[in-house]
Amino acid sequence: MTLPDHIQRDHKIIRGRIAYTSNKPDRLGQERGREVFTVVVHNDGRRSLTAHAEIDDRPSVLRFEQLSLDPHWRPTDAFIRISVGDKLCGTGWFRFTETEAECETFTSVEGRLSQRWPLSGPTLMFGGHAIANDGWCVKLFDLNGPQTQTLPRFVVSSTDHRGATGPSIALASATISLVAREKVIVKAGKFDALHFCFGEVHGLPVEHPIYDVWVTADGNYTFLKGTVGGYMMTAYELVELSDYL
Amino acid sequence: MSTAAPAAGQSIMQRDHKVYTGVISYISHKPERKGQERGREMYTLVVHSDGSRTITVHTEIDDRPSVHRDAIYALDKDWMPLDCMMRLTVGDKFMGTGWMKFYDTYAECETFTATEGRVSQRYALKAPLKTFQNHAIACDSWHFKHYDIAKGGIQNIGQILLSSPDHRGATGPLFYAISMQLGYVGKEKVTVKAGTFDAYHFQFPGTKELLTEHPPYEIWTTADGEFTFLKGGVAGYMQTYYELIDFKDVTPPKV
Repeated sequence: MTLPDHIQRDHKIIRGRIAYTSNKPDRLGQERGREVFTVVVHNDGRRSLTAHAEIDDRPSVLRFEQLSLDPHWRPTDAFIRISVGDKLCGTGWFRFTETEAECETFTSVEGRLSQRWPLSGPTLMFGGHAIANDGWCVKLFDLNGPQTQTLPRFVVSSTDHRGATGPSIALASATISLVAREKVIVKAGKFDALHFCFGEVHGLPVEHPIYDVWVTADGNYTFLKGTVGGYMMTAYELVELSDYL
Repeated sequence: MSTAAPAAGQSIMQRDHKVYTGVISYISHKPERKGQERGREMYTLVVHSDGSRTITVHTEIDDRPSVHRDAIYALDKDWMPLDCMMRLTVGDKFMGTGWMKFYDTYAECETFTATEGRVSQRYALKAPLKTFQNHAIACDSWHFKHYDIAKGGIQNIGQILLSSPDHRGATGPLFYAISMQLGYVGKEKVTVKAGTFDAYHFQFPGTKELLTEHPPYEIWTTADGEFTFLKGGVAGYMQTYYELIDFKDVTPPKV
């Protein structure tokens, strides 16, 4: 469709919804949360993810996240606002340069904090705990490299497994393996997928259980499905996906 | 770890909040573009059990240079601003990103813009800020929560802060202060694409405190105490119309 000159629609939008369900025997298949997200991809390759996540398991976690990447998928800035047990936990803004990460935050525990964290090089990703964001983290894996790789350290908003503290700057990394290239069917459709397995996650105070993640193989790293073992016993599935413009 | 065992008699699940989603369409009323879609806005609103609320709004204005705005804005139970994050793209290029936090005696803004670079602002307040203008249409109607319908007439709700003095909110984000005048026309039944609602009809009579005078702006909001934006029209050079075309209660069922 040709648009009139005064109209500018150079971007693309992807919107999706992820269901969180339990894999615990006594709650098998029970919905325990949900996430809706919007990805805007600009003409120059920059992209922003905005996600609203709800974890129902008491105390509930509500998260608003926005993460923006440059054309090389390096984070430029992010925002997190979280409620835990339906009460404000924290709200904070992150910015990343070649040499530092900064965070301006207000949390119910720490009050107002300004953090400046020197970096030896640009942080290559940000983990804000939205499940859609987890899919973006595996972009750090070199598909031409070995099957198992330890990712470079990147900034996370919380070292809690549910991301339910802070937000503030912490560093983490993970050893992940490319399990297979697979054809995957989820409620949102059928996709060519990359299947990764997060083994050890480095930098967390409590060991994170094994986490299998499937993302689209189209270069967008859209989260398709995931399962976490151990005490978490949870599953995530993309149940809606739509393109606009 | 944020997990905790539920107390005796408590469900393992906690769904104390409510969630609503909405879509607002931006339509031109200029004679040569009459009825043409010129933008859109999609939002998710969470209302917590204590009455505080957080909205995330993604806005797109197609008129060249295009404006994309993401705002995540939180109010307390009395509808007083708590904090707001904003990110702006103009002409499909990065314009700015910032975080604003509001206290009883001051407001602060931490921002990075393509024009100004990294800026920290601290703005002294004579009284707690009643409202904040982040330029999302869904939040324009929230200003009227502070209007006293029983009194009527043009009311000045005092000093407020804006994220930008630009009519499209396409600069900054940086603080800009004005005083806000609000007017009331009456109660009406309004039908928009999202449904038929009991509505309040309000007016922004226009302001000369911006760099360029803003034309008068008519707004209809729900009359249920939630001040949900239903429709609105701006006169003058803007000649634009906004309408709520989709609104859903997507609160997960209680367990």
